[in-house]
Amino acid sequence: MKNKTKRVFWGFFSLDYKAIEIYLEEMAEKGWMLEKVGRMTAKFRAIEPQKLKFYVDVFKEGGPFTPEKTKEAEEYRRLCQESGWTFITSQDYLQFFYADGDKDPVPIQTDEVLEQKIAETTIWRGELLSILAFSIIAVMVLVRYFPIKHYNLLSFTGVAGTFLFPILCIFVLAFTVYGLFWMLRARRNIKRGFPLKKPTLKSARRRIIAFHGPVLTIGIVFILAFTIDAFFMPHIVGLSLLGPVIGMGIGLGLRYIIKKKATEKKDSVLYVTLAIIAVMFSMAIVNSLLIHWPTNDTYRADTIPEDCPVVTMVELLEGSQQGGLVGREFNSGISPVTPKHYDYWETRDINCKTEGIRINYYRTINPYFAEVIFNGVTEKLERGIKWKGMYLLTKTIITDDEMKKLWNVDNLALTEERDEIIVQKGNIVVHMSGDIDFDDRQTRELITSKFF
Amino acid sequence: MAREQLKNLTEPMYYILLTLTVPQHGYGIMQEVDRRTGGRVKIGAGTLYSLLSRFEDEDIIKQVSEENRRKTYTITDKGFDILRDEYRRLKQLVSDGKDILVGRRWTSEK
Repeated sequence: MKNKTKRVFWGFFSLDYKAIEIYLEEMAEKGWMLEKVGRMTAKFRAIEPQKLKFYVDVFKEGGPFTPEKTKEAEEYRRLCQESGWTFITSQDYLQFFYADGDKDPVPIQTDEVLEQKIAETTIWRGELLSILAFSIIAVMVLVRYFPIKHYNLLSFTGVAGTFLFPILCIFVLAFTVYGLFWMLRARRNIKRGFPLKKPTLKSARRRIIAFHGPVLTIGIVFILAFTIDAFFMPHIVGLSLLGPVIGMGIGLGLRYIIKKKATEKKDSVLYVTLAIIAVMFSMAIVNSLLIHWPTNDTYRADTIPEDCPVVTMVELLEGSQQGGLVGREFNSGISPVTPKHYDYWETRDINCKTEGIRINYYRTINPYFAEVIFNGVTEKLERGIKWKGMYLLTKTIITDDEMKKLWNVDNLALTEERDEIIVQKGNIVVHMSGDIDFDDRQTRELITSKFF
Repeated sequence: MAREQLKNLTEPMYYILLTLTVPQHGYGIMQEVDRRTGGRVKIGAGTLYSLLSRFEDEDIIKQVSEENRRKTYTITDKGFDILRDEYRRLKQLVSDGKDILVGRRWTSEK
């Protein structure tokens, strides 16, 4: 029993640090003593069930990137120890102490005004830093997702990000506002001479469920989306994981070194600087890999499935010289919004000249998303490829109302050279390019009969 | 500015400075304040640590030695001035109270 330990989910907010004391007392009465508090979980050790008193204090000189055993922290803990509180562990600013249930040591904080000031400046500073970091990431991600990008509708992760990330941002914002109100209310109470209102365990638990419930659900959906994408496109997912894995590795390593190995506060500045350099270096590597690695949201298939219509060159060249097949490829993808999308290309050798076609087909669940894809593909063609600050392979896109009428589609756009066409009808978008005469009636009829 | 902020000392601040008229370490301060006030004023370890840090930052007290990570502090001249001012202020408060209240029925009853 002595060595028995267990880990429990630790979702307490720093602002609820006083409610943690009640929770720890309840756990001790059930025979579990706190051993360590991590980011998401806390480790408990089995003990004889007993009545213990706990005190959770805010140490203003602690923090996520401050060594655990600085001279200041040791001095502070020694003082607490001498006044009857045994130190258990620390988590950033929070320090956990206990005393026997039959003892009555002087509380660690005896001045409420001072306690409130410390809690306010320290915890709020910490929370603000987290919110700031989250905001930077949120802005970067929101710019990537909004306005809705057509390529984000082609994968599970893209769709999850498009719809769930804004919800996540709303939750974080709501809790930031809630925290601010909490702080202002506490300050007002102190000014009026009222005692600090200690949160109850019940209210702290309600906050845990209200915040972590949706956030964890969103997290699980993201992981599921990522897993499904990894199944279809393992190399792309592997590559996109490289950045976060390196970042997290460096972050966790940095935190461990600072927490466990460093003893001076100034050491952390050096480690953080080194970590930033390492992150920037690895980001440059990952970026260059992503740029040079051909990525798309499809996976290669050996045969063309029956439910995926394509127009082959043999069909387009019916009645004329068909030449010999040089190569062809079919790749398909899936997402909740675009349940079917694939690309097909084929090249043939006709009279010693290589000719080819390329087809991109998208079927969405709703015409709105089809329009987003239509606009996205058109804009992408118009913009070309950005390379070293320049835009290459840009194309002039034109619309042809008469052609649109002939094709009987909702939207139609084609390049000025008339070698590429994008059409949308209902929830289907087809983008075709290559050696195809899009003005030819037979070709048009063949394409429309195949796809619409 | 610092002096201005500490113009009126709180009770724990006053007793801490009073105790540091002789060099004392943290726990010693807590015990001494408790003894002197007969347990009426209790200073928690966290509160004491914050106040000592603040006093040290504002040159009101200074560290005189450190043994086994246990720091011993004493009051500085600046701290003495603040303590003396506070003593005079409190004395004035008592004196003013005495002028008005002594002789009245409810005070004599007490």
